[in-house]
Amino acid sequence: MVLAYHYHNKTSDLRVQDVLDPSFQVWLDEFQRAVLDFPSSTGFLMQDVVRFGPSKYDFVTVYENLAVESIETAANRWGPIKIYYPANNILSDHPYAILNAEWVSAEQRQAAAQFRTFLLSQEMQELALTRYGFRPANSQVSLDIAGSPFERYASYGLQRDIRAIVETPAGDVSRELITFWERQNYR
Amino acid sequence: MHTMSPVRRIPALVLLVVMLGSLVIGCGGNPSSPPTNAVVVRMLYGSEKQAWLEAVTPAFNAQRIQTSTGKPIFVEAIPMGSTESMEAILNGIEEPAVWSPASGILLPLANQEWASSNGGQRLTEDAPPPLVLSPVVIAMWQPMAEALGWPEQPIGWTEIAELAASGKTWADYGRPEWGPFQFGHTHPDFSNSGIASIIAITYAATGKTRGLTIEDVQSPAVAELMQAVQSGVIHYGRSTGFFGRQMFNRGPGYLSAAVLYENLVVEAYDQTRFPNLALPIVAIYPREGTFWTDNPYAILDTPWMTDELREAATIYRDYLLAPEQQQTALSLGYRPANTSIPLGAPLIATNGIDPQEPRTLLEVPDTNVLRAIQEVWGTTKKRVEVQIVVDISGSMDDEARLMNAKRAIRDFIDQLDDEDHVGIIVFSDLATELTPLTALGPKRDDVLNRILGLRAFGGTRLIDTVVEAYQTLQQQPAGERIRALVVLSDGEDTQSFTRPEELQALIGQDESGRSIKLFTIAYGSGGIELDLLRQMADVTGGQLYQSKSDATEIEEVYRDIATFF
Repeated sequence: MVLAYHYHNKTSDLRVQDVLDPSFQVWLDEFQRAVLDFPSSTGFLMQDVVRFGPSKYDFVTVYENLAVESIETAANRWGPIKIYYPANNILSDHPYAILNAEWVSAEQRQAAAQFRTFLLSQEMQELALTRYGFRPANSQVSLDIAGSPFERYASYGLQRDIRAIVETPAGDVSRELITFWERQNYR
Repeated sequence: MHTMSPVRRIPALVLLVVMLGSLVIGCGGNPSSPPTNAVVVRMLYGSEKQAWLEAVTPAFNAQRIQTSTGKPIFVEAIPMGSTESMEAILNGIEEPAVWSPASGILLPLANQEWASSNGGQRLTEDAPPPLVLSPVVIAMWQPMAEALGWPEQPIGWTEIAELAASGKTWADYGRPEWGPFQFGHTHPDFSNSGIASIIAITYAATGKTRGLTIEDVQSPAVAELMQAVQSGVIHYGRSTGFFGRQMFNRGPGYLSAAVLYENLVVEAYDQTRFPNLALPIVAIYPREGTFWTDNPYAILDTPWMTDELREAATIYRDYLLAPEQQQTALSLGYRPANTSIPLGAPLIATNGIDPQEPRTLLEVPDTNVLRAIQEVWGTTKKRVEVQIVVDISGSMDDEARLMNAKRAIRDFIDQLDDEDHVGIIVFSDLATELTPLTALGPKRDDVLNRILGLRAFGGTRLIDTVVEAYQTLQQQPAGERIRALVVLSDGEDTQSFTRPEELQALIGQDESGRSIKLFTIAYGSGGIELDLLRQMADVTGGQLYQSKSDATEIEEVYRDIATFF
């Protein structure tokens, strides 16, 4: 998605015809062909980066928190990693959705809401930041608190500010992107 | 067609490793036995991680960890060449719960072939996790690497090929005492590092590091480079560790370089194992790229698997990946797969290691491309010049020895190519040349018939016959072919004039890797010249085998010897 926005030089309103644009498809194809394999999760990918280092990957796209989590283990194997932020970015914001389905009782709904409150509490949000490298969703928690990786790892390229956040494209646009990727059979 | 595909060639080999485990690759399996009602997790694994698994598995078994159903778990870990174990599973000879080959190179091939004969079922789980890592490297004596300009000048597969093909010797680099350039990699039909070697050579010939096609493989440049590299090879073999040991024990006049795993280079610096290491050894990470052995731990997805077995296999996997076991792996020279373990000693420069390497990785080609590469190797591999020496003294009638040996030798000849040169000498009171040392192709059927017609009588003229057979091989130029003597005897010498010391002096003269190799078989349960046979093998860099008169066992011995060619 980010590559598609980047190619079309915009941050919102990505359309199906943008994805179908042949010159975009050629460009994306070149990118994909440089990838040796596609691990099934970003966590596995980051582990592979630490294991195989530059023999396998010169750079990878991963979540910021995974990069943070691996800074030290990577340094212990291959040396420091450097974090770069693309001009257009996208947030993985981990929505907490309580299902509105018939199998969820009123009691369960209430319990789920309590658990959400717990996760969003200052203490838990601080822990998410200091131990796991997530940006807090609770605006009361600052990126500058003691033990924050944003302090510790600034020299690795970790930044507080993210540049443009792109708009989540409509469902049919995402579907078209995935279909194109699958059709190319990169796996 | 005698260049058999590995699929047809391997089946009966598997038993050998179990039986000859102690001979070929050290101690196989586990000394203690499973408790009653245990869930036995049988694992076939690439022998390159044997040192580690033997260090940590007995402790696991001793803990008697239980499954959720309350049964103790017992792991039966069997070291076996990676290609070999794959074929054993595909051919239904082995039904393990876990398969852990040296690398993922073989996983797509194994899954594809399993699916084609099992209604599309997968053999392994998707993306099995790695246990320990080690890159495939070219191990070379440091002063030799420096003579080639290393480390300023990076060395790769191309340089190795050029060196082998140029006809240059180390004298051209001011070091005549090192002799010619002598190189080794294992047999690609049996061993992971062998297959990695021939894939890497193919990439080097095409200038690619990925996207290899069948057309690429079939280009003349590939055959040319492959042949050039093979011309420097001293012999093949099934075990990467064997090459390592030969190189470390025998020094730079024997092997200049060999394709090994990085952990074996670390092992060379273990002074209790190799107290006489002649020179420092370095791991060269080929500039064109290489492969990792990542030792995937694949729990099989086959009909014989049960939930209980799967659970037990998972518990053992988690044990192997826990920090303590991973730390043990590091101390033995492997790179831990568990990323929480930092790299450090013994993976350091003073042990010939650069932990910042390798920098380039080669892509694992798909199944059809892999098969095409194996074919190119089959046509360009180094040919052998082999004298088969067989005892037909009267005692060979005991225990049906001769009958079993005949079958095994015929089977051995089936393993050889038409272009290989084969001679057979039989001996009792006298020696008789059954067939001279000439190309096998035109005489194959005749030779097989002559073997059938052998009968046992008379005494044992062992030493004199070996001397004569050795001398005919000596007349063949060194380096053009692998020269070997395969000697079977079941008794004590009764007839020879040559004294054992004279034989030792003769075969001990040539200490180079291109020397004539003696593979000796102490056969049957009579009074055998065991020490003499052992010395013949040890002095020349060959191997001693002991076999009772059993049709399968003696056949496996000859098959193992065939992997050297």
